[in-house]
Amino acid sequence: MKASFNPLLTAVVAAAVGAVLGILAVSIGTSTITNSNTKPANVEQPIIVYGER
Amino acid sequence: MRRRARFPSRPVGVRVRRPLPEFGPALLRAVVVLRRWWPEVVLGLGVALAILGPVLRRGYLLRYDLVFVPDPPFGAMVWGSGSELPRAVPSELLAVGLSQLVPGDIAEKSLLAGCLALAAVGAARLAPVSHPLARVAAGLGYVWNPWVYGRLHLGHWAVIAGYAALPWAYAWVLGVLRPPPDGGGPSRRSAVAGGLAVVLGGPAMVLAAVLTCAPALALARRWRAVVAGCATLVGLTAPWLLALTNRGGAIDLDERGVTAFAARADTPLGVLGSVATLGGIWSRYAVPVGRDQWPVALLALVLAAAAVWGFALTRRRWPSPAWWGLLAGAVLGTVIAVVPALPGGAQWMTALVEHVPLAGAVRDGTRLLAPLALLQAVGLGMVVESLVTTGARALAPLVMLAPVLLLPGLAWGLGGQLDPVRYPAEWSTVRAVVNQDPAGGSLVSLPWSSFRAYRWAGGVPVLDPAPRAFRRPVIGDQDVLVGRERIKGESRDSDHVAAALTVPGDPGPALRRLGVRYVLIQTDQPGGTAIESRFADAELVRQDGTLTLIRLADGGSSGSARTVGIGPTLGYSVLGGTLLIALLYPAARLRRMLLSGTFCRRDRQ
Repeated sequence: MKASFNPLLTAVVAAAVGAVLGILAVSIGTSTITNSNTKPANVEQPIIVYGER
Repeated sequence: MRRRARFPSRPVGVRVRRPLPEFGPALLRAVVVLRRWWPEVVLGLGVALAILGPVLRRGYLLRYDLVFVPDPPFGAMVWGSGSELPRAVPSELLAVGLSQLVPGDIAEKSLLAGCLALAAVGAARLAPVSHPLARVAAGLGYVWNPWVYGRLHLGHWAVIAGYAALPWAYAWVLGVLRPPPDGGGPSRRSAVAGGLAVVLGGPAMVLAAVLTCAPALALARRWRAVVAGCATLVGLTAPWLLALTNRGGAIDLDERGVTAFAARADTPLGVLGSVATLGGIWSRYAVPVGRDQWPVALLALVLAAAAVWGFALTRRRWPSPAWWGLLAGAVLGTVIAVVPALPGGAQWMTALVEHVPLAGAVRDGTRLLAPLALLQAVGLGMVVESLVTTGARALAPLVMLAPVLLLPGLAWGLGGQLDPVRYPAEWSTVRAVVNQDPAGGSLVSLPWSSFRAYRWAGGVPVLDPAPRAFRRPVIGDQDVLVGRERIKGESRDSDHVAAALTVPGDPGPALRRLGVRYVLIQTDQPGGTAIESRFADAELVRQDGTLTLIRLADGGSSGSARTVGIGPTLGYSVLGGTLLIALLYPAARLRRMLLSGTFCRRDRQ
């Protein structure tokens, strides 16, 4: 039996591809538009280290 | 006549004992499963007990990223609705959901034990070997290694969950490529169910699963299965993806994290030797004792080489695409893990993280050694099987136990490092006050540090529990210190609060303008008393033991703390729908379509 067109599978794949492309577009777009808060605040920080190399 | 024909042999006066239809088949099935899979069952229980035995009493395990709290709410952290990266989505939902059924500390240890057992059983059932010793060797090799030690040390339970799902995900691939003729190996349904847990491990473990599974399917030209598998993964990661989109703004990962979390040599064998023996984790504290000694390192290398040789022997037992596919996945994962540690590799990886969205998943790249661990586990099982069949039977138990002998520090709660503790009573008091307040607004956790070191928890660094304890968004420091290097977090709200705290004087008015309603000060932490004295004109709600709770008048009173945005609702709806399609029996046809890409009866797998 040969496989035929499957609307559900097509819809799922289309949604998945669309979601990935949409997120990529939003991410790239916002990264180029917004460039705020890149200056780190110089707040006094207690010394509890996550780890050490 | 009709009645006699219906009960032809029933003597009068004799009571007939009928079987219980409800329990009979289930018990029979359990007995069959136990008789067939007893090595795996014993292995799973044994591994969980051997590693977590001493901590199975009541109390919370708090260390590094492992944070569970009593009665956790379905708060902002579960939904990923804060401005930080949604790292705890969707694993936190499982943790909080389970904590609604059982106490939080039991949920925590159940998840840990379940992950370890799932990993061992999955690898044991995946290996194409039949002798019980060989199956146990494969499972033991997958769980008892420096990779698992390091992640357990750092409290990465969700990463271990993704790691545990990997053999089950690969069992699904094998099922697609070649359904087992004798029914051996994991059933299709169990493989799918186990493999779905891979999304708990976050983007890195999803990438590890793709690296593991996609090459085999691609080599076999099962393109429909590749697409269907990816669609399933997208559906399951929808909460994370939507939370990321909902968060808005750039994913501005600090590029210094690439070098800070890069693989390092934890043996005298260098970075390559360390990685080949499944070590190389970035933190020197997360390295098992003894790995820096030449004899241990060399024996570990010999064991790894033997395992790779054993994997070569499995070539005739697996379909060719499956064998080459796992090999390709392991090589790819290892290359990604090693590149930042090579000359020039860090710059290349930094550029990748800076310019490619979601490429941050490759930061802390040793997580991508999971496919290599799976390859070595399968190979170790094959080595033991070869020893058994070739007459060197006496060596088989020694090789099987070699991972344990080389890494005794993993046993018994990481050699006593894991210790259950109880939260002080003031935590529940403060939590009740804040969570019962229907007004909106966030909570700022001070002093400004992402990690805490509690005396009552042994002084081990642990992530601030506050974001998991409160329903409303909790803003705290997101930066982490790796040695003297400060790796900047990604939360914009944290940047705003940090900026407000840098201004001398009372930070209350500035925080109020940022929508902050509560300030929680943990006075037993470094700098806690100093920051407490700065809040001059705030309402002191409670001051119990080590916690001080301050309410800012009119701070963040708009909105409600109990609302869940449309993004999380939609994301978890997609996840739920995908799970239903994948697992429910009536949707078997849909499951075939979505998970294997086949829907013709002839192709049924």
